[in-house]
Amino acid sequence: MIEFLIYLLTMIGIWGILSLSLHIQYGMTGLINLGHVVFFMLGAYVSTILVMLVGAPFIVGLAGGMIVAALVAVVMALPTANLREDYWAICTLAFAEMVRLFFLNQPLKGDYMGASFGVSGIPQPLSALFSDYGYNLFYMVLVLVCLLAAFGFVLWLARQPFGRALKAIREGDEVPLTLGKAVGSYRIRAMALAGLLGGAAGSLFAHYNAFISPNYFLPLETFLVWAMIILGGAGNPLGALAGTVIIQLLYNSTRFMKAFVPLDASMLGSLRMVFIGVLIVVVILYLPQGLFPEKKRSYARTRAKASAD
Amino acid sequence: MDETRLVPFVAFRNFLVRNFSVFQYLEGTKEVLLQVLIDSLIYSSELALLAIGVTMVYGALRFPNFAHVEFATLGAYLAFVLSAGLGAPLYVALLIAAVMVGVVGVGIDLAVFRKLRQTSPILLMIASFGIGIALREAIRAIWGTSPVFYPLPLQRPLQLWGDMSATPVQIAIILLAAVCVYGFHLLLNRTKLGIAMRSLADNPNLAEASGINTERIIRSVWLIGAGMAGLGGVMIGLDTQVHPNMGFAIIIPVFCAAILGGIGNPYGAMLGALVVAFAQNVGLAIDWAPLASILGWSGEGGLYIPTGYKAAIPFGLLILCLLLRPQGLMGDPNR
Amino acid sequence: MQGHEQKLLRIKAIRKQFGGVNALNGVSMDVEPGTVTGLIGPNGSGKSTLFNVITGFVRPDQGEAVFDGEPLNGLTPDRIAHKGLFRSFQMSLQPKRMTVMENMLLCPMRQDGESLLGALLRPGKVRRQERANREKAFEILETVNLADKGDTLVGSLSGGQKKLLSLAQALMIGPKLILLDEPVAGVNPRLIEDIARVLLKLKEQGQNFLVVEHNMKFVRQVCDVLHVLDVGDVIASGPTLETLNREEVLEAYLAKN
Repeated sequence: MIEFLIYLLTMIGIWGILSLSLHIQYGMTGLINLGHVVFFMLGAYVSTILVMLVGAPFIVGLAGGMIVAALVAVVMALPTANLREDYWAICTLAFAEMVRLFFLNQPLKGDYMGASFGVSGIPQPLSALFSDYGYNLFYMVLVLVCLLAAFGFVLWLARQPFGRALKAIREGDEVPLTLGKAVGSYRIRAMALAGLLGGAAGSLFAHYNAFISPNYFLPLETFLVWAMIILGGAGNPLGALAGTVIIQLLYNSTRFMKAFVPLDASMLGSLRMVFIGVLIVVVILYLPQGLFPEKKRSYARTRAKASAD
Repeated sequence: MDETRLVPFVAFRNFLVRNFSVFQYLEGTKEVLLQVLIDSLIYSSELALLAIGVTMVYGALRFPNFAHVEFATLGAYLAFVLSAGLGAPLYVALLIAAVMVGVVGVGIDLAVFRKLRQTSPILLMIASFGIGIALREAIRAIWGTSPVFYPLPLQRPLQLWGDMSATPVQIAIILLAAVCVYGFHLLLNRTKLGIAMRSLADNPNLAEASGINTERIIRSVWLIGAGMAGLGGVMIGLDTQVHPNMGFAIIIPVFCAAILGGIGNPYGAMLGALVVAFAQNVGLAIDWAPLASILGWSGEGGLYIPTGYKAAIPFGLLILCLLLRPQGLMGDPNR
Repeated sequence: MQGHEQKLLRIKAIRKQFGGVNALNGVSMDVEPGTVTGLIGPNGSGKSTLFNVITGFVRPDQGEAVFDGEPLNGLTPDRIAHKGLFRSFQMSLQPKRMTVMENMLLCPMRQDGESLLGALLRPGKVRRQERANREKAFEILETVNLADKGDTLVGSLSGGQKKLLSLAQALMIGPKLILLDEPVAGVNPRLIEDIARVLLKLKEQGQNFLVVEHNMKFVRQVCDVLHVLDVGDVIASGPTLETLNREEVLEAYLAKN
């Protein structure tokens, strides 16, 4: 049971970072990225390649994954200047699938590494220092620390004038443009930040799971992250985390249900996806703001405080 | 093989290659261009039926319905149950399945999308994605992941022309799609309902302003669009197999066809389906070596797109279309 | 820069067609510094299009706009804003999910906190700028009677309050020229008086305005000079009262009724 909890918390950590990445794109900037999984994928594969083929240490893999994802994010952001948001959304979906197709076809080394076989035996950082059980605990702490850092970063970003500009852009281009904000440049920077976070999540996942394959990066994964932020509340970073916890609980609950429900694993797996799909539709219909609606930034108290001094 | 029947095509190709250097890349093209023709017709028949529904809903309701391809999967399974399970003849199963899927489409609109008419496209998109997943996984839960097949007699390919061959079922698919499309064309042009559907898909604001009962027309759009998708699913199942991912596997080519033709334009969707199908098959058949060597490639032998990357062609086409001409080939640039 | 004859804004022969319809048919006009210039005309005369061209949201087919000696053609709206041009917002475009204060704090340009490096490396400076901007914002909000609405979401404001916010934002920036797009449309008469008074006071302090309005009483009260637009052409220009009495102007308005 404890082992499962450690696994669950690790997954919540990794996917929480992924949710915060989507929160920056959609919750803060209003970008509808349906190919979000591509950052996750690139972070995982680039990190794996750097560590396994180039022999770099994990930290370089992590950084490499983050940087490549951020660069790709910048490229994805370029068409947003002229393209309608739903067209751009479809573009991102197609783009992510193209990248996945590449990794599906491209062997990394030899006959059995990469392509449809996936990559196994991904080295786990510092694994020599711990026992099996201790290592999982260590990795969980590592991931949760990264999640905390990411969360803190997003909160900080929202308080800065930069975050305020993103919010204005989310509501429409005309006002920020008239106020002299270079809207295109902001969107590119927001995407780059989101890419950094998404790539980090991917790298952390690859080195935790020790195995990656293109099947881990289907559009389904993008949908799960969207489900997390919509359920939790798109405009609130706390919502992103709450949504992650709930969806991860649902997703991992089947192993418990097996004891009560006489269905085989594959059918349970499908049913849980049916449940999540329906849940998201219900949330959109009846609770579109999510569990944690966006919090208003209050300045009245600061004024009162200043005049009291 | 009867070489003489290919002579006109080969001669034309050689003429192009000899006289216009730009056609050099056709030099090494495989002689299977004729087979490509028939394969593309079959594939575009399947795509067109789905793309028409997608484009009509996108035009009328202003959002891409990512669940639309699952109507195809549903139709295929329903027809399977009716024919293989209950013993109905295939053409009866086909029709009943299409109608059932049409009703499901209307039901989903009434249950979900109608309540979201005024919301932003993103919520509609995510909702449709969720519905799509729920449908697909429900199908997988009920019928399992392994593919199933329709009870067809063994199909022997018929020699049509030179190297070109097709099975009777495949020919039936093309004919059935043609009949369906023609019937739809008649509906769009000769009936009040069809004309209203066309104007709603083309310009929903204008249609509403001119007093059309939009909700009723929207129901018809769903009934016919989903029904055609169901039909398309049966056709794909007849051509290959029936499995839970069969709809989602072609979501990008379907959207590519719809967008290439211009959102809201059913004729554009038909044209788009032809373009996507041909581009995919021709792209695989062409020897790209002469073109690539202009760009500096220096390899031996021919250069063909690996079959693993077959799907990349519609992906690339879709991205190019959206970046360069989002209104589609037949659309108005000012809209 | 140059001498007193320097016009603040010069519009030279701007032409713009939309799908075969001539929105602007070779419009030329000037805005002098130290004035409140009015731009009036019946509906569909092209006033919004002209504003969109000046602020960079629409590219003219022909002609150019020159602001304070610098050409505006081909510049993006944000670059034009940096040159000292501000346009008030239509109510529907104002961000509904942001508060009044947030809208005010958006206004100052080139804030250090707007770049990531600036926010990371100079947190103290960013904090100081924020504080200064907040103080200034509160003061301005007081002059337009919105001080108690600082934390209200813009979506909850009335039409008149939204117009006041737009004006307050203009004051926050202190641009060389403020383009006001129907500043009193849909505003109750008492508030209209207040707005007119604020405008005149600002004019005394040297603020320049170009105002598009339909409310003739307001126009007579605040504008020194008028340009009249009808179906894409300037049909009259000159001092307010004189221009309003011109035949062509009366005809243009009557024809539309």
